[in-house]
Amino acid sequence: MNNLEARLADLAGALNVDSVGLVDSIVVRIDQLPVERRARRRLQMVAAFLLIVATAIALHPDSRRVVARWFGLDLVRIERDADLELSPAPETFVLPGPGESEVIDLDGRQVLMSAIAGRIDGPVLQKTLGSSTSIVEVEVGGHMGLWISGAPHELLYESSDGVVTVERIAGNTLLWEVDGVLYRLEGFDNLEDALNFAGTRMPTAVSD
Amino acid sequence: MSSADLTDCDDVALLTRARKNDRLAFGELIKRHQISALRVASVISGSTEEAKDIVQDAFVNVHRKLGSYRGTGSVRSWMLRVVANHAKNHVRSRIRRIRREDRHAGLLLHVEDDTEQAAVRNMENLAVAAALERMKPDDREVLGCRFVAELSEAETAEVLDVAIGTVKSRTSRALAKLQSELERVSVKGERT
Repeated sequence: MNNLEARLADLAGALNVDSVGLVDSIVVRIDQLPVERRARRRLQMVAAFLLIVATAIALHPDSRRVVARWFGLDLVRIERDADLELSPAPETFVLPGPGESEVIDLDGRQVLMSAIAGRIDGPVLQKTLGSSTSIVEVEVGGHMGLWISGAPHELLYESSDGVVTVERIAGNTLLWEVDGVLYRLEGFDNLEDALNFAGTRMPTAVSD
Repeated sequence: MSSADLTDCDDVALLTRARKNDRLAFGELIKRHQISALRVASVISGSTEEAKDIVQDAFVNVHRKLGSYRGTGSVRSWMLRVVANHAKNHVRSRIRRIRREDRHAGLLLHVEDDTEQAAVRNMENLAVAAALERMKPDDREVLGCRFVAELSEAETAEVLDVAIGTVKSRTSRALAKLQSELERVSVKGERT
């Protein structure tokens, strides 16, 4: 062992790592897992059922509207609409209310902002995303958020009344939750721009 | 089997028992490898304070994945690989949390006593810790596994999921960089 390796070994001994109570805290968490697993199985069953319904909707366009409304998707589904009238970027942006969406023109870039009554469930989201999609925990104006980027993905969320909903999203998405309202921002290529827009242009998002 | 008897079991036997929901056996596995895990997590994340949470999450995940151990490497390196991956994900997540102001506290060290010799050792350790923190993740990971967690080259290769040859070359390169960084700071300190 040379001098430098010896110095690293000295550092190892000096590191102030804390193992007190680690075993107990891990075992306690493991003992809680059966409950988590049951909940996850239920969600997976709901997600699978919703995917089957979504397929049925796709195959039968006439029934799309009725079934979508049945699941509340008509309120929260976000689709690009070329005919939608664009509004200029406001100086002070008011967050949309639950069920509302707005397309904003930012120097030629179309940004889609929408809100639904729901909450972020990180583990559930993570489970529903494919390996080619990345999910990063972020903070938007002091509120928990997620940046989902990469391949098109399905978003599974739980609404305030406990209904689990699945949606397909094609682009990068910034999600954050404020008091039971889930805000969704699409149209930015990178996280920094999305956070700048969400945090700086929307003062109502930063207040607790 | 009592917890005292479990200390005589090898890791594979403990893992086999843990798969059958033996909490004591899994607890014994954690006890054996928690210090290495905390060191790996500390060096990769650059924070001794955050290491405990990382290791806790990682070992809960290890328990979920007990059935996936195939016996191709040691149980220890399999467990530490999960820890290393959790620590890397933790760093990525922290880096991208760009609006958050809670900077991590860095590597905290024990202060042995108030003798002059201990003070010198502490200064040296602080210098090495600071230099490690400034290094690139690949360099920090390999030095952390090899010399802080004291893993063999083969174990380091398994933990970092790279070839042994890569471990050798990265180790050599990272040691050279660390030496250079320590000398640079030392020279800078003498000038000021």
